[in-house]
Amino acid sequence: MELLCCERAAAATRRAAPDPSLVRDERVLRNLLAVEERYLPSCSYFKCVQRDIQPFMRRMVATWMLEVCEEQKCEEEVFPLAMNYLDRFLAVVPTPKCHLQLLGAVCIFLASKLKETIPLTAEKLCIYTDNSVRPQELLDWELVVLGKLKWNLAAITPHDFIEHILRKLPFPRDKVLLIQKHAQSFIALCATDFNFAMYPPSMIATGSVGAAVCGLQLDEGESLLSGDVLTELLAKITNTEVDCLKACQEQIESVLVSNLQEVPQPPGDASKTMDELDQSSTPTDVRDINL
Amino acid sequence: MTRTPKRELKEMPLSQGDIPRSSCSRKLCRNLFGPVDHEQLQNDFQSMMKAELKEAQRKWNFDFETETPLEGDYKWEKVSHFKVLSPQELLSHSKENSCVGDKTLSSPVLLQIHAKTDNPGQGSFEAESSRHLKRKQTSIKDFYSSKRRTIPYKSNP
Repeated sequence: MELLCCERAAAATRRAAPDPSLVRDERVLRNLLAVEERYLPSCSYFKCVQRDIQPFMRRMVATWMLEVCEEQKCEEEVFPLAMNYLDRFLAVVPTPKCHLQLLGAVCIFLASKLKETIPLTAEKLCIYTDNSVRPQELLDWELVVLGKLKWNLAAITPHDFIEHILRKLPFPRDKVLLIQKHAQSFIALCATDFNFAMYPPSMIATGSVGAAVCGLQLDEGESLLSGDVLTELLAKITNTEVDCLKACQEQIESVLVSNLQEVPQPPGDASKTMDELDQSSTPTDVRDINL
Repeated sequence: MTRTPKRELKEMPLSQGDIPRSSCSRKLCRNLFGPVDHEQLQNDFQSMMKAELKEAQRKWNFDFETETPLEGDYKWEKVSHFKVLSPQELLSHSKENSCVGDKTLSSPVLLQIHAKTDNPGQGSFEAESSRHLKRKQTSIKDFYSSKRRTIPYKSNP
């Protein structure tokens, strides 16, 4: 009767290990590929829907959202999922720019509720807007956003593909973990950039893994996978055109370079900065650079 | 004495919740796009919710505010005998379909929906049958095809 579990989940969130019966089943990947486009924003909204909001504002709100997610140690998928909600909402509802931060907060709120065991609170998110938004407004607009998304929240994000892709690459376990960390950083980077908003998540995932492998220079030296062989293998896994994938990967790399340049850092070429990225070997470095 | 551990148990989720979340750092607490017009926000919220309600009213030919049926594709029927059902009876009803209980109880006026195309002989007053009918109308296949159709005109609301 006096049973009491005093065990504390010492700061770390408990996660289930990847389920082999899901990751190894081809049908799961096939289904993900089949339904992913349903969750893309319906149009490139800066041209056809929004009058007040400019691309640089999306970048501003995205950067703020990413920083909030990082500080609150949200699960990796929360930020890309929140950006998916934001883009899908903006593709249907003309929004004044003074509502954009509220919308961003609502999207984090929803994504956090969907993906996390202990979601972020409305109060905390309002503090992050410097109290320019009230908790009640956040809750009100949560309903509006849900309605416009048709309560369709379980969107597919690039993260859903990562395990499926990594499983098919011939790298040792430690390298795979490193590739995964870097790929996750690239995915977050892509979510801050509107150019990737209309790309299917599978392509962003494949491009991010490709960029991570190249960045870690695992495609050189004794490895069996040279650049082109790797690209072809990746393209085959997610049924992407080789040329599209190449273009996507190059785009990711160039976004990384331009993000690195924005931050006061000793100037260096791309490969050098990628080396620096390796050495710290934390998943957050690309995103830290992004701040 | 036995109360103390109980209380601790109750508090555990909260205290656990505090561990992984850090406090908000000053530099991140910022207002990105200037002052928020709370009145406009409230007005926009009201008008969007109204539009949503209107859309639902049109779709289901039912006025959800006054809970009255309107002219349209669906024929709405009042389900009156549920009011006199005791909780036990309701429980025995909902055993077959666990969703039924809360759904029907939450609404002050209980209504049942039939599509016109449905067999009139099915017009019983059973909540279960209403659930089955609803399911028929929103099978996964219907849902997906209707999703597809909405995409083209989503872009110009």
